[in-house]
Amino acid sequence: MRYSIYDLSRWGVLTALALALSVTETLFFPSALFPVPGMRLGLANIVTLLSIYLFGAVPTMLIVLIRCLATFAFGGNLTSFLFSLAGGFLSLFFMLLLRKLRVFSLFGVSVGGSAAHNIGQILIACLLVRSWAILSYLPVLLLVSIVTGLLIAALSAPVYKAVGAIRPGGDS
Amino acid sequence: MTTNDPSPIRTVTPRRADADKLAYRAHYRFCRWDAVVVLFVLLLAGGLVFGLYLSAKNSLSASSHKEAVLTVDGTEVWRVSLSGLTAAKEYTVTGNGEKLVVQAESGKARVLSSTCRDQICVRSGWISGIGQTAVCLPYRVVLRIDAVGNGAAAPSDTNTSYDVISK
Amino acid sequence: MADNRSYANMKKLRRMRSAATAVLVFALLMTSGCASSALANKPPVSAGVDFFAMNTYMTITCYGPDAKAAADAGEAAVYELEKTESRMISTSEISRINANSGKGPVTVSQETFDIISDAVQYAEKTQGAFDITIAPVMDIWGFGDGNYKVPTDVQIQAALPLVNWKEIKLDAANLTVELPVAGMQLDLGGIGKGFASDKVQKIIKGYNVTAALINLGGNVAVFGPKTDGSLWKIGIADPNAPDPNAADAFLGVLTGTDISVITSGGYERFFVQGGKTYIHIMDPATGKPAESDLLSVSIVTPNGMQGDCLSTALFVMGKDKAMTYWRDHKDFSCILVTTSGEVFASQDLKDKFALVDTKTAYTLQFFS
Repeated sequence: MRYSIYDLSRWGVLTALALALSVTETLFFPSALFPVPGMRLGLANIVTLLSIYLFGAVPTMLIVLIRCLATFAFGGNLTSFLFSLAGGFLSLFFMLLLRKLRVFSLFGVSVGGSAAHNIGQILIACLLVRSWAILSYLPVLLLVSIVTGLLIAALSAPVYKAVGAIRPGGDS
Repeated sequence: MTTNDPSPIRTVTPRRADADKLAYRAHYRFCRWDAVVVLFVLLLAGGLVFGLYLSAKNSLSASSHKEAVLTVDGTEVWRVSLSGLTAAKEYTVTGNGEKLVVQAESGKARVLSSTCRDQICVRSGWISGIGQTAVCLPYRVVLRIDAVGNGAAAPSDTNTSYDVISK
Repeated sequence: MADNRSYANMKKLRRMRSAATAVLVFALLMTSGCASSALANKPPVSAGVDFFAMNTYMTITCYGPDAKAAADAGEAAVYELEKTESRMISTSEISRINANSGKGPVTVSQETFDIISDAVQYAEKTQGAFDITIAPVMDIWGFGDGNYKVPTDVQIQAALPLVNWKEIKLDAANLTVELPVAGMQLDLGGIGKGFASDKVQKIIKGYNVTAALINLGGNVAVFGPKTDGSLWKIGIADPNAPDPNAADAFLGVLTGTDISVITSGGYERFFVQGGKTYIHIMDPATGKPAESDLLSVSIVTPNGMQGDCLSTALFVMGKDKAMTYWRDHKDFSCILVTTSGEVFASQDLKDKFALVDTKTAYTLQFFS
């Protein structure tokens, strides 16, 4: 791949940042606070969201993939790995889609992403326990995902503004 | 470059064409189209609620009762009627050194304890609504409240009900 | 190119980076364990366990303040029993007896001695229809290890002489069991679950338990009234049911309590070869699967061990001899299902057993 080592190392740091965010958010906002099991703030998506705009689809895919693998390697079980993978990639797909349709801002993309994330996880759960009963969790999760999506975008917006956008034409 | 513009930071470098493709000026302010997304998700949630309500309603006939059903890996292992329970009933599932205990009382059921790591199933607490579930994903155990109609398994007729089968 | 703004941005990023690394290291050091939940410590009014033992699925459900402890104790007892009596476990007492066949007496525990001597008594009563020395025959058909095969007549003739309960030598004073003829082997499969259910019952009754339902792979034992005061309803399996695990795979219901109900039938374990079905219940006289006119036999008795032995024996005997046996002894009740769909139940079950309405293929008669 013809990416510079500078880029690769930055993506590495961002992956680490995403990992750190996902671990520490449970320390400050333990999942016991949330009514539905498996509901989280999803702060790591700040990294995903910013990375989509700053670096594009492929690097973000790598970041998400490596983040899931690392969580799995650091003492996760197979089911949660499948979960984060399903949720992460479905959300990534929809975020990229929404971004392509240029009318949406960070907020729209983020809400779409978190909704897709939850849908992906619930679908995998239904598959895993072979029961559609899990779907009953989805409405609540979707409502919460609107809130968390907006929150993530709100946290990402200032960072984006500060770091800046790439101009068309690749100006430096 | 004017001083008002935020300076871009050089990121992906190699091919000019790629740089063009990657150049996205993001809107970082909430705009009206985002409201569409929010609305869409809201509608989706609402639709799901309606759909689930309908399916629950369909399975709820005039004279029916609720049952708690426990399935492991998709196979039903325990079923108990939640009406007419004068006292709590428990059921334990074990295997591979793991253990999960469910408890059923009149009108509700819950996962009482589990040796799983995340304890999400236990933290789900009591479930009582039809279609509600408590799930232990690592153990592939689902505790579900079913609505059972008269025809299905009504234990009123001596000829069609039993406590156990000798085989 | 790098004006003040972008320099400040770069510094910001750098700070972000170092902050991120610090947080990451910190986070990794604090790998979160599980959030343990407070377990409700309310004593259960009913508790059940389900587990796998003796090659089958078992459940024990108890009712009463000590239900949990009783059920757990019952489960433990079954595991212990299996370790001592299963010939598939090389360290069990039965395996030791089998390994020493032809080599002299083997000292055993009181419990094992009692089981074997009771089995011998039932062999005598049923004139050999129930015989725990049947193991060599079981093995040539592959019912021991699961490698099913049809043996040759030569093999059967070679194994038959080893099947003789009369040869078992028991010494009550020294608690020894001897298989004098080398090659003789004991298998307690036909009596083990019955004995286990009796033992579990005894253990459970030692706890503060008002009622219990014990189901050891289809060997059912119940005692006490149900929580609503009614009697237990025990279904009798339908041998012709296409799916034995279906909820409606039973042909009749027996009402009662303080009884064991044990059913034996070829439909439980069999293999098909060359278009013929070979069942796991062996006829000790012929060395082949019992060619009985019965599909299943259910014995109803307070004595689980008796029920287990007799269910096998009466199946081998066939309908007529089974009815004669019942008339001669009458210390149990039975339900016989013939291959032609007739269900014969002993007269003493008159008010307790009835067929299921939907199973019209069966007819019921009470015999005396």
